[in-house]
Amino acid sequence: MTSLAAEHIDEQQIVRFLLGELPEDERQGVEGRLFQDDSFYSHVLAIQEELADNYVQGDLTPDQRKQFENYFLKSPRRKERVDFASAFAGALAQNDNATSAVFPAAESSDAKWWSSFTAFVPKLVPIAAAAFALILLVVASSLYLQNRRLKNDVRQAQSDRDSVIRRSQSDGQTLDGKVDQLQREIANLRTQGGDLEAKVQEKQKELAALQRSSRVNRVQPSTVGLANFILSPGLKRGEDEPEKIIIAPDAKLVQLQLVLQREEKYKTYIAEIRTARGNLISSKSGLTVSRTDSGPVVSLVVPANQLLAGEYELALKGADKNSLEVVGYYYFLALRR
Amino acid sequence: MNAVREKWQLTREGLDKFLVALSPERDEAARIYEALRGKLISYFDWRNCGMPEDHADEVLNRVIRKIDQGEPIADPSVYVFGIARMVLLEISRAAHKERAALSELRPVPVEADDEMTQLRIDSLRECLSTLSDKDRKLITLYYENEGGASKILQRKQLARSLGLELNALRIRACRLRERLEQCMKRRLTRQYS
Repeated sequence: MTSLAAEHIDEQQIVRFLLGELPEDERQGVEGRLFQDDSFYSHVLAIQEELADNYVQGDLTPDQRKQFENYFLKSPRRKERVDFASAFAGALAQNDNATSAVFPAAESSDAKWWSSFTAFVPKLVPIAAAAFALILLVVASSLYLQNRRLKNDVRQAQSDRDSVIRRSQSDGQTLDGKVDQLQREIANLRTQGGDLEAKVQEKQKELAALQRSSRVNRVQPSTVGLANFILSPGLKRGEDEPEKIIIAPDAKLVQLQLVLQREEKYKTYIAEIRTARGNLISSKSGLTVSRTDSGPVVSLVVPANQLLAGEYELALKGADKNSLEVVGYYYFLALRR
Repeated sequence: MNAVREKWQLTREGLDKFLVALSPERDEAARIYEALRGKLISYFDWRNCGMPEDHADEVLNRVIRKIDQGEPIADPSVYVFGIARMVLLEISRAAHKERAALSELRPVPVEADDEMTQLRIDSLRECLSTLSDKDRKLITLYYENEGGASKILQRKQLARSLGLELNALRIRACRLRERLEQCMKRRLTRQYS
């Protein structure tokens, strides 16, 4: 399937297309592009979902709403989109509530402490309460000053980490030293107070990602010019970043080892690599699972020259006789030395 | 279906030739075939044709017949679109003759089915819990909004924080949503089978 570059997505035009408002010649132009440009088709489907969301949430203009009901809802298939949009909005809303219940926010523990305190205060004589409040004020001031100092330390450490990541793109050899430095800083922060524990943990996650990157970077082209990278599904690195893979100039081939989230039943797999804009650049079929220390892994090899610097999405699909199903998406940022 | 007038039957050989025309690799050809069929279904659906799946299969059958008969096809997707337009024309003519114009299709009323909606919501919540933390966070943040202009702004900020373009983020969220829908349907099917 050819996939033309989706340089331009005219969202308003697509909305008008979906609402049956485009003149026939313009409509045929959109339809022709749908068949030739996979990325464009994906966008139209995505905008169709958002249109259904907007209808459910009452975000359409009165004219759009009228057209939506007179045209869009003519089709049972599209009516299904509205049903799903409605259920989806409900699930997200209820999920938020459930998440709040399971993972109470930090403020709620503070609130609990405060309510206990306020319940306790009336039992004290006013002078004792005042004395207690004074002591509390002194302690709070001290904690505040300590917090500020620790926050500065964290900020400094984060700055160091960021510079490590930047430098790692140009010189992977410096990573080890910086990793050690970050570890020392985290150890120092740990000894200075528990109230920044969450931040320390967050930094540790980032450090783990950095170490993984460091490990990956070391597995660089051997004599056969094969660069090897291990990818996990979803967005893994740090908080929200895709995995970074650094490809040396002399790498001829890139091996991607895709860690599966769980055991899958499929005999073979298909891997499709797309750019951030959705253009298909590589598709490999007949892939199989192998067992490694990281768990079940599907490996594929792509020519290094196909992976220009930029962000990619890899869709891994399980295939059997009757179905083809996505088992995971892997995101990575290819960097060139 | 009125547009079906030919007696030609789909053959295994014809299908094989078509798949080879799509890609020399069998699995890849199957993927492209399914993608093309999905586009055809959407095409006829967006044209408000009833039974879009049947029309999509009719188009594919005609293309396969042409290939089976030895017609060279340079770009299957362009060719498929051409045949789809012809089938659409036939459907329109037939509908006109039968005075069953496409415009007579009535909007499907959106009726509140509280029980079914709640079943879907419950299934979707379970499906959400099967996503990785990052995917769940992404889809929640993407669709979490206060409506209006702030929705666009929030999504732009989210895209920026992820180092993505807004369009790339939209596709990613939409694919996660598709996965959730597949998961929801599987769960509902299991519940009712």
